[in-house]
Amino acid sequence: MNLSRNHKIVISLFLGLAVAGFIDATYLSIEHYMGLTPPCTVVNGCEQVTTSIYSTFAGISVAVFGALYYLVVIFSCIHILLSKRHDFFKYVAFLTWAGLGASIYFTSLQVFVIHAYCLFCLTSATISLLLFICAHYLWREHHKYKKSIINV
Amino acid sequence: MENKNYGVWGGVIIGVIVIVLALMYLVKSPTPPTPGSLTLPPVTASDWQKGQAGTSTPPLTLVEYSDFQCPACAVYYGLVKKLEAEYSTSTLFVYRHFPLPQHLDAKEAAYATEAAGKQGKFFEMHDILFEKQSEWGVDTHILPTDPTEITPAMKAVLEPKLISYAQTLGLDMAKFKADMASKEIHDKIDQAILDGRAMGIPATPTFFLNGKQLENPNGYEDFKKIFDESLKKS
Repeated sequence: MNLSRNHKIVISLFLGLAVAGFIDATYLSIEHYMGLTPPCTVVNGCEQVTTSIYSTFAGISVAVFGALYYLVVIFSCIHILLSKRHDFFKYVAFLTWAGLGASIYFTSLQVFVIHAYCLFCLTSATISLLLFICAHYLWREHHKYKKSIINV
Repeated sequence: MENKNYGVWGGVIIGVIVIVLALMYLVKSPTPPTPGSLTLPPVTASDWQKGQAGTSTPPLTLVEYSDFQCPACAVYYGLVKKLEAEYSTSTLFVYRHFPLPQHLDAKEAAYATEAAGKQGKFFEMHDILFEKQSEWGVDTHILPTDPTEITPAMKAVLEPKLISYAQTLGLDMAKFKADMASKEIHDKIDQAILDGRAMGIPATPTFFLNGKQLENPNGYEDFKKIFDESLKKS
């Protein structure tokens, strides 16, 4: 598959976002297990959010699940680039639904239940949304490319 | 080709490990400002202060940087009130404004205390605002990030409550309203915010005892212990 310029940019963006998400979630995980809270400066609520009952699931920090999710996304993307199996973006696009769903859930909790906000969590939610958009774009592009081959 | 892929995967795994280790190192490293590292501007006659009946140089001075709409500040208000009752003869209690930008009602509340202060009722208004925070501090007026100013619609919800508190204090209402809207008071609060930011106030409330920044105590007994120890030293 010959990649267009836009396609290459979106793949780079996708990988960059996944790495940024991994750094963000790993940072939150480390803070959690060291018993610290991310610096809030003028933003109030980091402590409330990161120490709330919603910050863990089955005794594990939800940030750990976030970091694992981003890691899977990174590995999947690299696998696709190495194997040139761009059809796999279909599965990555499915995977990003999970990230998007989790982000909507956690952002809703901050807005409607905890009434406090954590910038690192909001950053992760934004990254998940962008990953979702990029993955679906890449899947659609591949689909279009496949159709064009069939038509030829 | 296979070997090349192994190389890439090896690089990726090493990259992941480096990121995790670097983050662990950064989180472990002390990041300024740490409690005790901020420099407190000296207390002057222009500060709102109470307590320390009797002595001209009090053994203890507690300076609080606070925000009337901050829930944690309302919790600490109760603790400071108890300290005021117990240490009024040995401690000067100073209040400094630091309304956070995401608390859209906080500046208006600060204006209300300053306007009440013009009629000698600063701490009376201060007490009402903290005690009734849940009544006037509307949740939807707290935003996640650096927001805009309070909107006229939000003001329309808030102002009648502030006015009713002023009425219960028996203030001259015409003067109170004029002072609330005065440039002098608005500028004073803006300057307080700039001063707090320049100092590096990390959050509210932030306390200083005899010029030294405290790590916020966990409850009254913790606070009391710090006071008693400082009194012994002084």
